[in-house]
This record gives sequence, structure tokens and C-alpha cells, in this order.
Amino acid sequence: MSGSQEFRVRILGESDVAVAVMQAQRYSRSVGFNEAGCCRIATAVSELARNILKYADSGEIVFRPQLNPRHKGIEISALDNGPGIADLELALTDRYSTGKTLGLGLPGVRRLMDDFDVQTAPGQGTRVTIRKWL
Amino acid sequence: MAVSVDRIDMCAGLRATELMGLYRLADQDLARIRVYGETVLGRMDDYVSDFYAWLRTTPEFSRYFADPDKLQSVQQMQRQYWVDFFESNVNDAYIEKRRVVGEAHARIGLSLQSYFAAMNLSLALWTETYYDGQLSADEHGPTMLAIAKLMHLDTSLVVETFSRMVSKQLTEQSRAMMEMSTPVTALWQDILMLPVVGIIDSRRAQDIMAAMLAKIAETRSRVIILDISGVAVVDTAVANHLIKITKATRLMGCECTISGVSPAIAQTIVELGIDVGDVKTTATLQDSLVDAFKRTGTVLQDARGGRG
Amino acid sequence: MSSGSGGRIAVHAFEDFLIGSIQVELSDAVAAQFRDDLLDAVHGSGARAVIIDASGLDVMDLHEFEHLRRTFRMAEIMGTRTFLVGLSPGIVAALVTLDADTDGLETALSVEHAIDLLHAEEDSFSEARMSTVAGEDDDVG
Repeated sequence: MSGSQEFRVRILGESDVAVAVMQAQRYSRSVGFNEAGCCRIATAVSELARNILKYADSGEIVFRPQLNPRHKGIEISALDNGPGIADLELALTDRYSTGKTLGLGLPGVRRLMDDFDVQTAPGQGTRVTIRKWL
Repeated sequence: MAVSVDRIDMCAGLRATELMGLYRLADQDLARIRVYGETVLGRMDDYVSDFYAWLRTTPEFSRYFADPDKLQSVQQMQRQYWVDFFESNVNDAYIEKRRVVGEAHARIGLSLQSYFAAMNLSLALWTETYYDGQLSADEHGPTMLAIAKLMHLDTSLVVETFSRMVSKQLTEQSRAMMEMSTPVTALWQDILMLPVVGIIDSRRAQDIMAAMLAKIAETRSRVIILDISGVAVVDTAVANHLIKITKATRLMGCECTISGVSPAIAQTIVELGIDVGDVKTTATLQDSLVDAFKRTGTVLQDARGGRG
Repeated sequence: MSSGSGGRIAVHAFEDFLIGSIQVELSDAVAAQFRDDLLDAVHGSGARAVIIDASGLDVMDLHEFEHLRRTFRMAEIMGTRTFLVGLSPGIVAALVTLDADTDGLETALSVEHAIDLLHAEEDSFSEARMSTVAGEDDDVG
């Protein structure tokens, strides 16, 4: 048994975003991230949870602390059954320097974390997975 | 005085020399205060009775000071406060004492508003009521300025400590989402402050904005400091709320500065690509206070000519 | 002295400024450490400005520049001005060609220049303050 545990937070309303953020802080701290690391993770979770509410009505955030001593960190997935991202390439384009609307905020989330991937298709929902290592 | 074990650890514990630099206090300023102090400290008994004549008229009096023993010890502390002030030996021990004052106020639940009203009165007593021309014409201005600067330094320490204690109390009382609303506090003339703790969602942001705008309208303040050192996360939604709030206050003629930006929060704001525009943001409440004092040009009335 | 991926950009306090000098290659690790060290220093010191001297660098690519630029923005959000000084003509030409985002970046020829500039600003601010405070202001009211 790999011993990796999963913790899910259902995102149905705005108060759930707060719960997800607090859980993110809790798990990051227990894995051993410092203040800056915990803040990055919690902020990324906040962005992703809000995206779920904004674009998909409901979904969930799944926390998977990675406790293997040689590779400690955290993996988090944000899942929804919404309409999917129509133009993924555009959503991932870094419009940082022009500084206009931030849309889904995915480039920002990517910058906050170490690993980042998105699976999506129109009508098939979206799954964003992020990872940060100690 | 025994120091309790759970004292707040000030993360930005500025030392005396740094604070004096921030408030542009030079040794000559302190010397002037000392000189003035020698001429005016003799009125201490008058001060105590005048101060308490005023205090008796306030609602706080019956609530906090009805007990004669308590009153005695508070009066002792107060006398010592002013002796220390006019001694102006601004070293780390002095700073520590001012922080203790802030904690004492927070612990008994006295509002910052009451504290500031009391300070205003005290200042008027020491520099106007008990002033009878002791100083030469060209010493008067600089001495009053020096007193003002030291007052600002003192009160900023009290405010900072008070604010941190309140934030800490709030966080400790409830780890869940904050439903509690924190009142907007009026500091020195023209300056408002509001510490925000926890998670800011859209409803809370609306409440915060409404409370701030109402207080600005009521007090006609020119600066409001929004302290976010207790805020867990600033994502794009929260940043938008904050920026909207600063736009709203500006439309009422009041500048909003945001204090308490930790290194962690600064990093996430920039990585998310959030553009704060021309909103003033600072690392600590202390920095915002210094900026607010500068902006409002808070200065003692010139006893010779007055203004306006 | 500093070799390979080691090295650290030291930041030290001078008057109410923070000053650092880049003597090592800006690898991701070095840049991240610098960011953390600098932001902690800014938070603890209430410094008025951060002055970073890049005159020790021959080369800076876009990735390194953007990392540095982001660090500066973080310090600015904490209420401090940031100066990047001593960029060589070669680096400057390369950054401009690569369309680096240099908007709002404060620069000076050297650390000394930056300090002089900041002193001069503070002096004129103090003068303005003193004249309104002394009660001799003619244009009040």
C-alpha cells in the first residue's frame, strides 16, 4: 500500500472556498512547508476553488499530501463537471506583462507552484492538478 | 511589573533608533522636551485632577474606572507615563513600556477611540493649559514640534500593539470563517484604521466597504489604513475587492493605504500577476502610520498664531 | 570564491536603505533565495529603498531579468522603492531587444548615484515640511 491519503472538499458555495483554503493551509503546514510555501499553496487553491464556482456551479478540491521522505510535498486537484475550457491555449497564455483581465488566472497559479497540468475538453469538465515539493 | 508569558512577539520589532529615524526625532528634540518637561511637570497633580474631571464625564469611566483601587493604580501608571515622556529617554526600554500600554488597553477592552480622545486632552493640557510662556519665542515652535513627533511615535506603538492583540484575539477565538465585524477606528485627527482578519469573501468585502465609507462620511477622515496582516490569502478575487475598496474611498476624498503585506502575500500578489495600480501598500502598520501622519500633515496648533 | 550553484546575494542595511550586489550567476536557486532574503529584510527594516547593484554581471538573460523584476515588484508592494543599478550596455541592449518589461523600473548609474538621488528627494521634502510647520506659511487659508 503506497499509503497516500486523499482528502476531498466539495465546492458548492462560497463558504466552501474558505474551507478549502483552510484545509490547504493545514495540510501544507503538516507536510512541512514554510510560511511562504503554505501561502502559495493556499492562494492557488483559493483561485482554483473560485474558478469552480464561477464557471461550473460545483466541483471538488482533492488534497494528496506526499509523505515519502525522499519526495515530500503536496498534490492538489481541482475537479468540476462544468463546460470545460474552450480555448485552453489562450487560457494558459501569460498576459502578465499587459496586465489586463486575468481570466481564469491559470498562468498565475502555475507560477505559484512547481508542477501544473490541465485536462479539459468542451462539455467534459476540467481537472487542474498542481504540485509543490519541499 | 511582571511580564506575562504569552506576550505578543512583534515580528517587526523596530528598535528605538529606527523608530526615532522614522519619526525624524533628533537628540535636540528630546533635549527640548526635557527642558519643557522641567518647567511643566510640577503641574502633575493638576494634570491628574483635570484629566479625571474630564474622564468622569465619559461613559468609559463608570465601566472601567469605578473601582477606586483600580483607579489608583491607573493614575500611578499615568503619572509614570508622563514622567517618562518628558524625560524622553527614548531607548529600547522606553519602546517596551509603550507597547505594554497598548497591551494593557487591549486587555481591558478599552477602545482605541477612547485612548485617542484621552491623548488629545492630555496634550492640550500639557502644551496649552499649563503653558505660561516658559519658552522663548524661537524655542516654542521647535519644542511643540518635538512633542508632537514623540506623541506620534508613542501612539503608533500603542496602536500597533493594540491592533496585533486584537487580531490575535480574533484569530484565536474562531478558526472558522470570520462573521464578526470589526469596527472602523478613528485614530489621530483625520486617520481611520481597520484591521481585517481571516478570509475575505464577497459578502464580507461588501460589509467592510460599507463600514469604511460610513465612517469616512461621519468623520471626514482623509486617510484610512486597511491592515491585512491577519488575512490568510490574497488571490485575484480578494485583490479585486481591496482595489475596489480603495477606489471607493478615494471617491469620497479619503486615501486608503493597505498595510500588513507580509513577504508571503507580496509573493503571491506578484506571481498571480495582480496589478495594484497606484494604491499604497506597506509591509507594516507602522509604515502606514508614518505615511498617514505625513499625508495629513498632522501638526500641533501653533499657540502664537493658530490656523485658519 | 563563489562557485557553480552555490553563492548567495547578500543584502545589508545602510542608513534607511537596503543594498545588495549581484556577484554570482542568477540561477533559479540563487534568485529564489535572494527573493526570500530580500523580502524578509524589507519586512523587518522599514527600509525606504532597495538598491541592487548588477555591475558584477556580464550577462543577464530574459528569464533571470524577469525573476529579478518580479522580486522587485514584491518589495514594492511591501512599500519600498527598488533600484537596479550598474547594468552594462551589453545587458541593456540585450534586454531591450528581447522586449523585456522595464516599465516602472527605477535605475541609476551606481549605488552612490541612487543614494544621492534619494537624499536629494528627502531634503526637498523636509524643507517643504519645515516651512508649513513653523507657522510662517504665507499661502495657508
